[in-house]
Amino acid sequence: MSNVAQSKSLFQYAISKIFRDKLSLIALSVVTIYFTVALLTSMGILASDWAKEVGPSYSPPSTQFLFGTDIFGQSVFLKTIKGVESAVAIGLATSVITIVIGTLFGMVAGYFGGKVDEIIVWFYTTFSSIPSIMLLVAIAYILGKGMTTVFISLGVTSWVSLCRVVRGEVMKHKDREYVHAATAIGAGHTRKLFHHILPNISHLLIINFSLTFEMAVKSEVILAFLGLGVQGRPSWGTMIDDSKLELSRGVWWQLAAATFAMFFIVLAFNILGDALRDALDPKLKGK
Amino acid sequence: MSEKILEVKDLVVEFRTDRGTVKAVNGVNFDVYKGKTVGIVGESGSGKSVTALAIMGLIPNPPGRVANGQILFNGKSLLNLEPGDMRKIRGNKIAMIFQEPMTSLNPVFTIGNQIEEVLELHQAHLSSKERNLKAIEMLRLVGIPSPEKRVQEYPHQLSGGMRQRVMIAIALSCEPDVLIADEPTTALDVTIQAQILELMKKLQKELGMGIILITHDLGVVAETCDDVAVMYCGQIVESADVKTLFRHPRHPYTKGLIDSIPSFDSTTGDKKERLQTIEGMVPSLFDLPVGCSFQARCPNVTEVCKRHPGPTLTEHANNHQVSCFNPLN
Repeated sequence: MSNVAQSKSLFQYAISKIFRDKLSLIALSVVTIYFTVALLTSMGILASDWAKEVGPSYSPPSTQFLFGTDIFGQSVFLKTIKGVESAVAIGLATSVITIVIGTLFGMVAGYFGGKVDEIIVWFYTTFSSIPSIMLLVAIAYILGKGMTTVFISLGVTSWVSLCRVVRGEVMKHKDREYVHAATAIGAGHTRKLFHHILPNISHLLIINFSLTFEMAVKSEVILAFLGLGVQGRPSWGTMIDDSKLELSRGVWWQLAAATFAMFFIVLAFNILGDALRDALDPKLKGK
Repeated sequence: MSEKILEVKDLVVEFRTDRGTVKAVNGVNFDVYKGKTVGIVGESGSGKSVTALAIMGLIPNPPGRVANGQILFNGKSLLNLEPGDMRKIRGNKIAMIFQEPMTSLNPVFTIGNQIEEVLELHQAHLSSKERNLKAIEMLRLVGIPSPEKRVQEYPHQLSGGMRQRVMIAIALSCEPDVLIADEPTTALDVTIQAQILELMKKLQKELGMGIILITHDLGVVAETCDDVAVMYCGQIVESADVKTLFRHPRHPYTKGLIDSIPSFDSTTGDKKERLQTIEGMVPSLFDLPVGCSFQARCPNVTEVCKRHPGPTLTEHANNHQVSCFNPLN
């Protein structure tokens, strides 16, 4: 008992675990690269001249036109790079909206129980019984086209599963002795919920973040296909949407570039999500 | 007699269930004096912990509620306080230690953070630096070695005894007037148990607080308490000072409890005796018998005991109260 072990929080433990595993380290690097690219693009350092006509339309990939050009003679490579910005923005904003709504509702329902719980459960059951594609389209039409619409429509349609998990977990935690002990030292409801219980369920939020992120990146394609995607700037969704007509003319490079760009980040997020779950979920610890 | 800080008068706590309303605590009276320890003894389900929770205002409502009686802290009633005012008392004036040190600490915060939290809640004038120093000082007070390092540790890095010390540190950091210890040593092994009880006694002397010690262990009671109340089926059946209670128990239940303490007398070399037990089970609170609730298990039961109403707590000698129709001599 006399030797004091090195203090390590759950998150420090998780990070060290990810750094020890090669695959998750690669996934983390891929994600970091995408995020850096997105940041640089949004600051105008990278791919700022994506709209410039660089050559004849539909030039196939070559040394001159890496990934080829599109109908306007714009570089597909630059469009793909610019598309990273849209994808990361959509992923981040959607996850944040999802996590905020899902966590708040889930925590309140699980903690207070009774009538409050019934209302929230009724609400999300009803909500999730509506086909989400219909909701997506409805919200998109109400708000008009654009980036914000994509964030909001994806965000408000994907919080239900997180809400359920959080609700269950809070129900379990609110009767733990440490929460009773918090009451006994004079803590109020808000303090118990946000200061004591939330940190104990935060691993769920992190895992959900990685899942929602990749879901949002993929769903953007569906919105683009329905004509409700990002406007006025390239995104992978609109690129794939454009290529549905080009493909019959043998123009495959726009589709390929967008798909591969998406493939790598989705795969990386998937692996990272798994690694995070393994590292953060105490029930899987030691396996 | 020293100053009276907490009075519990005719306390009745009810729980509403599908099978009807149950009185988990039924007319309990006791006082807590400054610098003294009151022991509440009884079997599981006798209402000890519910009494403690009622004092803290922590009875889950619904299904439970304090149906009758008063709890006076320094002469002021705790039962009709606003929730906000009650929160200011909890942890500050009246503190509680729970039974399970292993789970009573929040696993994601360092123990330093958790001691600082009480101070943050009740002593807002302290700066974060001062709170940190106070946390270290509290850990030193409860006998945790190298507190400067320990303060940054997480609960899982401490043993059960250490964690209970941390719980005590949290409970005492605002120097409460009353400390409620709900089976503080049940989850600990015997050597640690003795250390924790010693520590509580020492701190009581230093801080002059009144302690309510809830336990089912008469050994612990004999060691630490000044006054004892024996509870059975939500009622106090006997209360006295600790010496009188152990030397001259007058309620058959108390006698039974004392007899069922295993004794290891190696000096006399007595033949091994079978351990005495109290026959039978605690009756269900849903169908308590008419009359005395102990009648089914009592060796001295008579027709009178089955009469309605049952016995009430009456004073038989100086401060020695028994609730029995046929008290022992």
